[in-house]
Amino acid sequence: MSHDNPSRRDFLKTLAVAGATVGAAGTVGLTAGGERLGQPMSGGIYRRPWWVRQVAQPTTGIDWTRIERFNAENTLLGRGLGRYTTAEENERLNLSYQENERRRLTNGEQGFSLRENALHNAFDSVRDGMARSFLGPQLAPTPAEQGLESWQGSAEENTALLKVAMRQMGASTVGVVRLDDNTRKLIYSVDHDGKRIEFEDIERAYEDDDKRVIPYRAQWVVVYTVQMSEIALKRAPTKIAQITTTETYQRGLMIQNNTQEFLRGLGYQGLGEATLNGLGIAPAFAVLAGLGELSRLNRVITPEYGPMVRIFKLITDLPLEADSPIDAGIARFCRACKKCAEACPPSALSFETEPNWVPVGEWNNRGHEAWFEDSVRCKRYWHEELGTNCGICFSVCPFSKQNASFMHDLIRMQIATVPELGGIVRNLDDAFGYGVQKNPNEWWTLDLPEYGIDTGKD
Amino acid sequence: MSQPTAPKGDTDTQYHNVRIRRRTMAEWCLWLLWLITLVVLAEFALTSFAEHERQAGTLASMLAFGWLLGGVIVEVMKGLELHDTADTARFDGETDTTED
Repeated sequence: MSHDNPSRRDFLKTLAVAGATVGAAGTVGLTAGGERLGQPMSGGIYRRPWWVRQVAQPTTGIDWTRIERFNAENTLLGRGLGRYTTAEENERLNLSYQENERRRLTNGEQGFSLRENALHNAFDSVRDGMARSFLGPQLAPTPAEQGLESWQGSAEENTALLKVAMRQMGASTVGVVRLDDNTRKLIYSVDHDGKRIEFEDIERAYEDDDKRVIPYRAQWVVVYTVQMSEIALKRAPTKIAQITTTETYQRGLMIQNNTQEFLRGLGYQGLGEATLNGLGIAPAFAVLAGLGELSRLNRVITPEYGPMVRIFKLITDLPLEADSPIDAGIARFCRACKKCAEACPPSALSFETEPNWVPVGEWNNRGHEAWFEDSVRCKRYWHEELGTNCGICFSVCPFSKQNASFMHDLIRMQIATVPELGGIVRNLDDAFGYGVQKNPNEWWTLDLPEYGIDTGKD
Repeated sequence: MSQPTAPKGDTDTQYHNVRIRRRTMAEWCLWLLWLITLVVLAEFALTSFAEHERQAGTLASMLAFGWLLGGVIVEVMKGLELHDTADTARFDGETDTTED
C-alpha cells in the first residue's frame, strides 16, 4: 500500500483518532494547568482552577426580602434539643448520650475506647480553656502605642496582606464579604449565650452584659475555613471522627485570636466569635465569600477539601476587597448524587432532587434555597444511638477527598464542566470504595501528616 | 517497491534482518492515547495507596496493569502478524533489480 495517498477511510480514521488524542491530551493538560488558567480570589494571591468560576449570584437562591436576622438560640447548638423537646425528653436524651458514651468506653469498643476518649478530651478541654472573645485578647501593641500611624494600604493590598497572614496562621482558605443592608441580616440578632448583637454608628466596638455592638464602619466579614482530617473523619461515627472536629475548632479559635491581635497591631478592629459558631451564619458567609457552595448536607462544600472543613468568621474595619460566590458544579452534582442522604442513619437529610425554600424546622433561617435537614433527627441519633457526634454524611460525600491524586482533579473538572455525567461519577465513587467506613483501630497505626491533613490544595 | 535479496549461496545465520515498519498517524495517536491513560491510571493507583484508600488503589492498580498488558499484547500480536505475512528479505548492499 502506498503511504503517499491515503484512502478516504484512512483519512477519516486518522482524523477521529487524532481528535480523540488531542482531546485526551488537552483534558489532562487543562486539568494539570488548572490553577494557572483560573481566576484569583480577592487580593490576587490565591488562584483557583479555571473550572471554579466566580459568579454574581450563589448557586442556591437567596431572597433578601425574606431574610431576617436569626436568633442563634434557635439552632441546635444554642439551646440544643431542649429548644425542640420537652424538658423531660431533653433530660432523657442527655442521659442517653452519657450512657452510650460510658458503655462504649467501658466495653472498649473500636473507636470509643480509653485512648480515643483521652485524645478527644485533650482537644476538648484545651479548646474550652482557650481565650475566646468578641473584642479579642487586646494584648498586642497597637501602632499608636508605638508612636506610629495605623497601617494604610489599598483594599487589594490589605486583602492580600490579611489572607497571607491568615494562611500562615493555619487557615485553609480565606474570603471576604462586604456588610451591607442585606448581608447584615446574616449576623445573628442574638448570640448563642443570649447576648444581643447590634450595630451602631460608633468608632469602636464594645460589649456589655446585654449586648455586643458592631460599628457600622466595620464593614468586612473575613470568612475562613480550617481543614479537618479526612483520614480521621472517614472513621465516623466514632470518637476519632469527633477528634478532628474538636481539634479543628481549636485551631479555628487560635486563628481567630491571632487575627484579632494582628488587626490590632495594624491599628484596626477584629470582632470575633464570642461563642462557638457565634456571631453569624457561617455557611451563608462562606457561600457569599466564594469559599464553596451550599450542598445537600446543608453545609458548605469547598472545591479544595469538599465538606472537610469548619468555617469561622470575624468582622473588621480594615478596608478589604470582597470576594464573589463561585460555581464549581457542586450544587448541581448534589442534585444527582444523594449519597449523604442515603447514608444518613436517621434519614435527617433531604432526598429531594431540587433544593427548596421551606425550612423543615425553626433551626434554619428562611429566605434562601437549600436542602433543609431535620436537625432534631440528626441530633437525636447522636444521643440515642452513638454517644458521640456523627459525621457520616461528611465522610461519604464524593467531594471528601485528599488531594494527592491527579484523578481527583480530573473528576472535579468533569463535575464542573459535564454535569450530565454526575450519576456515573457517583457510581464510580461507590465502586472505588470511597465512603466506606475505615477501620478505627487502623488509624492508630498510620504515619499521619501534621494535623492529619494534606495542606496542598491540589 | 524493490526488495533487497540475499546473495546466492548465503545462509540465514550470517545476517540479521531489520525491518522498520512505518506506523500510520492513527496508530501513533492511539499509542499516545494508551500512554496517557496508563500514566493517569498508574498515578491514581500509587497516590490512592498514599491516601490510605486501599480499595481504590487496588482497583486502579488492576486497571493500570490490565491496560499495560493490553498494550503489550497488541504490540506483540501486530509484530507476529507482520512476521507471518511478510516475505523474509536480506540486505546485502546490492541493488535489487526486481520490478514493482
